[in-house]
Amino acid sequence: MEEEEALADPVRLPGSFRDPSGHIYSFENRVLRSVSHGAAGEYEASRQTLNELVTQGMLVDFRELSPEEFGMEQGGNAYVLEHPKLAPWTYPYEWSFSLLQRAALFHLELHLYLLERGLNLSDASAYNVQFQGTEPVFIDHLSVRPYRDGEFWLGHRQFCEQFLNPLLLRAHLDIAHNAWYRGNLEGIATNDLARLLPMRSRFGWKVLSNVVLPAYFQKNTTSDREVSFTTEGRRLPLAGLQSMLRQLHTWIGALRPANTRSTTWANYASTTTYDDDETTRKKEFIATFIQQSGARTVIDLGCNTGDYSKVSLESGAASVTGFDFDQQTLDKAYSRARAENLNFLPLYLDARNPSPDQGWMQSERSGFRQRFTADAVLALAFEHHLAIAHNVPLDQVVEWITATAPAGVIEFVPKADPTVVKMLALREDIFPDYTEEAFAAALARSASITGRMQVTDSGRTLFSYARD
Amino acid sequence: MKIVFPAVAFSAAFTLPAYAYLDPGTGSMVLQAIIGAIAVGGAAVSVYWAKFKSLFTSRKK
Repeated sequence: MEEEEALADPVRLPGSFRDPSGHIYSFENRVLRSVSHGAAGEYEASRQTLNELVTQGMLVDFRELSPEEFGMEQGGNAYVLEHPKLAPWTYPYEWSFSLLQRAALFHLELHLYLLERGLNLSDASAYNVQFQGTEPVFIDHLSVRPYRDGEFWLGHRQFCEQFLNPLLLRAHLDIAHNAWYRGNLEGIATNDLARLLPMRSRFGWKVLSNVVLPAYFQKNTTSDREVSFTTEGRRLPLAGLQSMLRQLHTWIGALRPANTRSTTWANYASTTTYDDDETTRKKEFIATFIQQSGARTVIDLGCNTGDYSKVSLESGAASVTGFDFDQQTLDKAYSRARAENLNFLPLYLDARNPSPDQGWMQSERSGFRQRFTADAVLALAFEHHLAIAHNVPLDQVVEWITATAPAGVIEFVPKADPTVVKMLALREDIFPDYTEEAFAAALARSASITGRMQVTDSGRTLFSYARD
Repeated sequence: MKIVFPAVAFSAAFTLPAYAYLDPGTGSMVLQAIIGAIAVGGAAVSVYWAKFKSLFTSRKK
């Protein structure tokens, strides 16, 4: 989303093409949504409830503007809506189990809320949910339309593939959804999950009715079994739809990851190699850095359960986006953020392979670099996972981290540190240039070093930097 | 499976309402037809069940 140059006309975003009822445009750093004449009636019928949802924080705000103002009256547009720009912008393949679970429950709650007001949702895409801090918000105003008596839930399959199936993958098989979801973009196909689920998971009514039977009856190109079926003359009574949604809500709310044994990282804060004094010094350094830099938004790379994100928030930052690759840690970080009411969103990132530009025309879903930036970045106990464990040259690691924000703190972990010793225990040390001085020199090529403090006896050192 | 759900008759081609831009998937629609049938059937049964029960409960003023 490069809107830096002044644009003459609103530009339609490449990811906005599926629903003919309207599209999203960017115009001089503003977010606009067209509403087609075809969808105008449904929009008008939903408008009052949409406003209620905004008041309750469940829907992103909107303001009606005239299409003429933007030269958008051509092309069948009845209305233009303006929305506030949300940051960060995230995708379900960057969510942890607990974030996806929260989004799923929210989507069901929204759907039930709408049904009580005579409205319905035309789809069930996880991409229509964004997180503001720890709380989900719905972003697609044109998915809301009047309920037609007895209609089927057309979004059921999409709901299963984009919300339920990825959660079941972790709950039944202890496989995190992220890599698969990112590869497929549309979630986990019901047919695929049905083939994977072990026998003992198949025979409950819920798995049977949402996964096994839909997969059995699904008509697909590879199946030799032809299923012809029409919804004509059939009804799904409102009570039937509502009970489907409530049952899913109860079920999803009770799902937990299959493996509850703690990973190394989930216990990191309690088993870390720091003693209390060192932790205190590190926290003070971060607090001073945030105060002095005046950073309002912070990216915390390798956030773990959010100790330093919290320090940042307490030192003047307004919001922190955290990244980690450990699933249990992310789940813990999220429940902590909610419990302590922190404006902190922990997301999944494997920094060796950040989210790419992908989807239709390779621009439907934008990559990590396009979406995540902040006033400051923290990369604490992070650099060696790339430089040592993944063989990335030190200057590239520094370049990548400093590109994330104009200021930041990076911790250098030397070879003498027990963590690096462990990393090199079973392999050849091919890193003759991995030294604190080489790191400092690389950092000085990307930015000015504004502070430097050794925090452990093993030689771990914090560097703060500022780019011009 | 076919024996379990005789109520679901497969006929004609799979048709969709004109307003749908989303492919809802045959599997999910068949399932909802079953739920719909159960819900309608269940509602009828519950009415009769209530009537049946009222035969055995004494009327209260």
